[in-house]
This record gives sequence, structure tokens and C-alpha cells, in this order.
Amino acid sequence: MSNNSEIKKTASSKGGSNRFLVFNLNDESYAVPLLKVREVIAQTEITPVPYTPAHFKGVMNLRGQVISVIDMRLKFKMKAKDASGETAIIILDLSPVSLGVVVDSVTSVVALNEDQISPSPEIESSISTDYITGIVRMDGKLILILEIEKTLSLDDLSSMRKHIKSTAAA
Amino acid sequence: MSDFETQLKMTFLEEAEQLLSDCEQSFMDLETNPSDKSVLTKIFRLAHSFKGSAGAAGFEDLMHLAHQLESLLVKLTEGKLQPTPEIVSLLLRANDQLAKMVSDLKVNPDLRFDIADWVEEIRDIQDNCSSSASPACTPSRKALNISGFEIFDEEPEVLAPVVHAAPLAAVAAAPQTAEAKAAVQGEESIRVNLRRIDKLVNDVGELVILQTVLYQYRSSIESPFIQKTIAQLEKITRQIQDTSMGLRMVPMKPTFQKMQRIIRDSAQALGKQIIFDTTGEDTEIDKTVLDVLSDPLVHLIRNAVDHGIETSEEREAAGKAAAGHVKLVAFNRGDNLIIEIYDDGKGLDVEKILKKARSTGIVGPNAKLTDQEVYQLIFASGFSTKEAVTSLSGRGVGMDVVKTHVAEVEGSIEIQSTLGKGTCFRIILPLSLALIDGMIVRAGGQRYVVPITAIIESLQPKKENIDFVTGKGYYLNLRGETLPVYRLTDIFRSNAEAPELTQCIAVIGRTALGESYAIAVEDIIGQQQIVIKSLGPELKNVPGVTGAAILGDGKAALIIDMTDLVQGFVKHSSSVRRIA
Repeated sequence: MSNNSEIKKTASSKGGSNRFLVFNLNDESYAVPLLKVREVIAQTEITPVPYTPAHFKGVMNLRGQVISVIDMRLKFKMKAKDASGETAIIILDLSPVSLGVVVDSVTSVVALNEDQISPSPEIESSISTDYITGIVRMDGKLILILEIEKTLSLDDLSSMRKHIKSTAAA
Repeated sequence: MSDFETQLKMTFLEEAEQLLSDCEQSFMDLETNPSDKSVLTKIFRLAHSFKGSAGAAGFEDLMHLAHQLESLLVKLTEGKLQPTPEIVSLLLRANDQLAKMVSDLKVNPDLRFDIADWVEEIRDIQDNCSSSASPACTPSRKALNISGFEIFDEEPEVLAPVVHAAPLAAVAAAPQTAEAKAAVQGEESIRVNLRRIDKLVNDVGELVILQTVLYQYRSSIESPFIQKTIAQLEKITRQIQDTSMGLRMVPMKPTFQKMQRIIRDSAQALGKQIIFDTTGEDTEIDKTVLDVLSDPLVHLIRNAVDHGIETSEEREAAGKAAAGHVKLVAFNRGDNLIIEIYDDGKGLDVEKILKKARSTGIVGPNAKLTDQEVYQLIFASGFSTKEAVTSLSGRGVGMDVVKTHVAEVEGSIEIQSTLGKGTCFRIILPLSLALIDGMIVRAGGQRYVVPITAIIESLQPKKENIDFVTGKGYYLNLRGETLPVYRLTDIFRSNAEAPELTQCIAVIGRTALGESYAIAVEDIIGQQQIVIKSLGPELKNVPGVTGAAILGDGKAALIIDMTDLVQGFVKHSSSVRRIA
């Protein structure tokens, strides 16, 4: 409900349809609002940071800016996968922070109308449904729409801090 | 409010800060030089121009208060009043009030203030003193020394109604404003948003790194023409770097003036005689560094007045001049900016500090420390000397904060002191914060940057100099001194295979308390000027990691604080040992 209204808000603010970036993780399709995406880049070298949880890949240089990178597979407790030519990093703009997320591949950008998005029911997916704001069926395939801020920002920041604290003191 | 009006108001408020700071300085000049008519003329001009501009910008409260001050100043210029310390104090406090109003108005230009108390006080001091041009202002002195205008409630109120002569003054002041502005600014300058400058400095930093890479590989280019162009580019890049770094630099002068005020006020409050000297007020300092240092400087200056300098009686008994000296000095030395705070007071008492440190458990009962090491103890947190012996009382309060602030801007503090003769605090700062000289080291397959300033030396340990103590770890014998050795990979809990210590490089660092330690890394890759990049909020708490840098090959590397790392590591391993 509140999730749905969130989407409506984004949709209405842009007037009518809403564009999403679709990516693959473990053969499932996910989507994030295109407005939140700064750019998509190929897999690059990432410097690990000590005391951080496993899904925190490290930091990377994005044209002079140092930004944190998160591995979506590990974040969603999927098993790790070696980088391939398709592996991409989506740079998200979660003001004030920019954050990179590693995904298996980026497939497309789709425009969706509000009525195409149904609220997320209890479905079988690899990730906690807390992060999903809606689902879309397109060309016989399910696309799960991620509430990316909830997935990555607040939750993650506080748990990161806790993790850093406990690891550094363990 | 129209855009034009807002713009007008904001421009005035920016200008007003400068005017008020000039006024403050002049008030103090007036006190030291009461007979100098030119000082009075200058003050009068400044006040008049302030009043006029405030009226033109529509700040009535500022204008009214300035108007009251102006009429007091008229009496001073005409010789009907003498600039007694009481009057100067009032002028200074009123100046503070104006400054506070200006800074509040910057946040909310529509704010109104109740200045009735001030108006009363200013009129009162005139009424009390103007009857005779002599400095006999006894009633008001009493009132003012208690410092507060509540006092005036009890005084008989024979006050004339407040005169609102504003519009006229606003018109008259217009031509004067331009004149005053020219006098204030001297050289022409423009205001630029600090964020823009930071962006420029940041980008130039990147440019310098790319240029360094290009320069390193120029020999692999065949064309002599391109090689020459690269060499020229190198030169011009350095010039751009120098210029852009200079944009962030501001003179120390306003800070020095602020200190003069603090000395004046605290000396007066404590009834001490103090002569304050400054040297090098034109020395420039990075704006950010200055902002961080402002509080520590105030603290050190207050300490010098409060606890360094003795009372006149004590000084005379010790055979010293009755008036104490406090000196504030700033100068550049090599890549450093040095700020020194001297006082010719009683100096630090090594025995008393040591006794205090032992009783609070900061040092062990049998620890042997050099005088330098003892002095550094006053910066230890928990070295509160509230109930300590007189010569020290209060010295420790907030000293750890001073140290933390200075460390925040990559600086260090040295202390020199002679008992009975005086103390000198020397703050050593890097000229620039954005760029540091970094040593790039490798450990566990990763590269890390260590600020050069944190490294005392580095060496490859010989087998005979390494000892292993079960349950404690490795120790390095460095010319007779025994230092604990920590592997960087162990500290970071990396699973990477670590080579023998004899195959490693030991980087020696020292804690604030002067304890040396060694961090073992696999290799030292080189030394490079690096631009410090901040990490996101999600990485603020990583112990010992202070930022990141982008190395020549474009990869990010973490900047580490060795002392932080070692202290965190030791703390947790000793607690583990206790449990086990």
C-alpha cells in the first residue's frame, strides 16, 4: 500500500508512464526507477575495504570520485558468481550518496504505466519481499521492482556501521 | 521580498562583517592609543558607513544601534568624552552585538531585535561621563564591570527619548560607503563560493595526477615534439596547481585580531597585565584548516593568559616585569605552516604533571619519560587537572580537544617550556590539506597510502633483530629500542598469505604519547603526491581508514592512519587475551 503509493508518486511526478532499468540477478529480472540511475559502467577494479560485510565489494574510482560498491548477489544472499563480460555496475544516485551495485547483466529500459504494476504478492523469489514494491509481467517474464533506497541506503548504512564496529572489535 | 531586495540585503550583510571586524580592531587601537585622533576618525567613518548601508538595506535595528554608537563616537571625537576602558568595553560589546545580529540576519533577513537595553546603556554611559571630560566615571564603571545591563534597572532612569534620525543619515552615508569600501578592500577582489573553489582544487588535483603519469611515460613516446609539449604541460600544470591551491588560502590577520580581543577580555577579567605581540599576521593558511584551528588557538591563548602568566604580584616577587608577555607568531617553514604561542609565565612543571599522570593511571608508576614525553601527557584525554595543583590548574581541560583538532588537519603540537620562564606551544601544519605526500605500500595484494608525515623511518628487519614472544607477538629491536611489530594483513584480518618478517618492510610510527611501533608491509611501492578523497557515510567508522586516493593507474587505494590502526588492534587483542 505505502509501497504502491510510493510508485504512484514517482509516476505522477514524471507524468504518466515511468521508466525503469531492468537487470538480471541469478536468472531473475529486477528493475529500478531510471531516475535513480546515474549511469551503468562495465565491471572495473574495486579496492576492498577491511572490516566490511561480504556484500560490500569495496570502493572504486568513478572519474575522480571514490564511491562504494555493493554486490547485489551477496546482498540478497545469492551465491557469488565470477565476473563475466556481461557483469555491470549500476551507479545509483541516492542523494547525497552515490553507490555502485554489481549485477549479472543489464538488459533493458522499460516504460511502465501504473496499471501494469501489481502490488507484490507472496511470491517465490530469492530475496526478501520487503525490498519489492511491485511486480510486472512482461513477455511472459516476471520483473520485480526494487525499492532501491530501502534496499541499500538506511538499512544498509546502519547495519554496515554495526558490522564494522563488531568486526573491528571481534 | 523581491530578488533585488534580497540581493541588496545579502550584499550588505557580507560587507557588514568586514566593517565590524575593522571596527573591533580600531576600538582596540583606540584603547592602546587614546590620544590618536586618526583612529577615532577612522572609527567614526566606519560606523557612519555601517549605519548608512544598514539603513539603505532596510535593517532598522542595526541602523538604530549604530546610530546610538555614532552619537557616542561624536562625543569622543569632539573630546567631550575620553575613551576610558569602560567606554571601549561598551563599544566592543556593542560591536559583538552588531556582529551577532548580522550573523542571525544572514539566516533570516526578516529578524527583528530588541535593542532598547543597548540604547539605554549607551545613553547612560554618555550621561554619566559627559558632565566632566575627566575619566571619572565611577558609577558606570561599577555597573559595567559587573558586565550586564540588568544593572541599569536599578539606576534612576533619566533618559531622553530615542532619536530616529535614520532616513537622513542613510542618504548622507551613500557616498561614504563607496569610499570606505575602497579603503577596506585595497586590492580588487571578488567573492567566490567556497564549493566552486573546492571543485576546482579537486579537479586540478586530478589533472596533476594524470600529468604525473603522462610525464613518467613521456620517454616511451617517439616524437620529440610531443615529449617537449609534455614537459611544457608539466610546468603549466604546476603553475595552475599553485594558483588553485592559493585560492583557498586566507591571511591569519582576522584570527590574530580575534585573539587580541580574547587576551584583552581575559586579562581584564583576571586583573592581569598582559602585553600581546603578534608576528606574521599576513601569513596565509588554508581556509578549512583555519576554521578547524580557531577553537584550539582560542583555548591555547586563554590558557596562556589564565594559567601561564602569573599575577603582577607573583611576577614581581619572582623578579620579572609586572606585565606578562603573550606572543602569537605564524610563519612558513618548508612545506609547513608553523604557529607558535609563547608566554613568559611560570612554565610547565614536569614533576607535577608526572605526579598527576601517575595518580590518574595514564602512566605506570615506574615509567621513565623524557620532559618532552611528559609535556605531551597534558594532551591525553582524561588528564583533567581540575583539582590539580595551582601552577597547572585547568591546563588539562580541553587540551585533548586541542590535540584532536590539530590532528584532524594533519598537524602536530610541540611544547617547549622552562619552569619559571615560560612556555611555547608550536603547532606544525601542512600547507595544504587537499594534497599530501603519501607513501604507497603493499600488503595482502592491496595498495595502501600512508601519509609521509606519520612515518618516522622504514627498514627491512634483519633476522637477529626480530624476537617472538608467545602470546604477545613479534618485537623488533631497533638500535636498542624494542618495538611491537604488527602485520598490516593481521590488523585488517586479511586471509592473504603473509611472507616472513625478514622479507617485509617495517614502517615505524609513533603514537601521540611517544610510543613507537612497527607495521609490517610486503613492499613500499613509492612516494607520490596524492589528493585526499573522502569516503561515503557508510565507511565513516572503519577504524584507521581516513579516506581514499586515486593512484596513477586510476585505481582507488585506502589512506590509513597507522596509529589509529595499531591502537584499535592492540585494544581489541588485549581484551581477547584477558578473556582467554
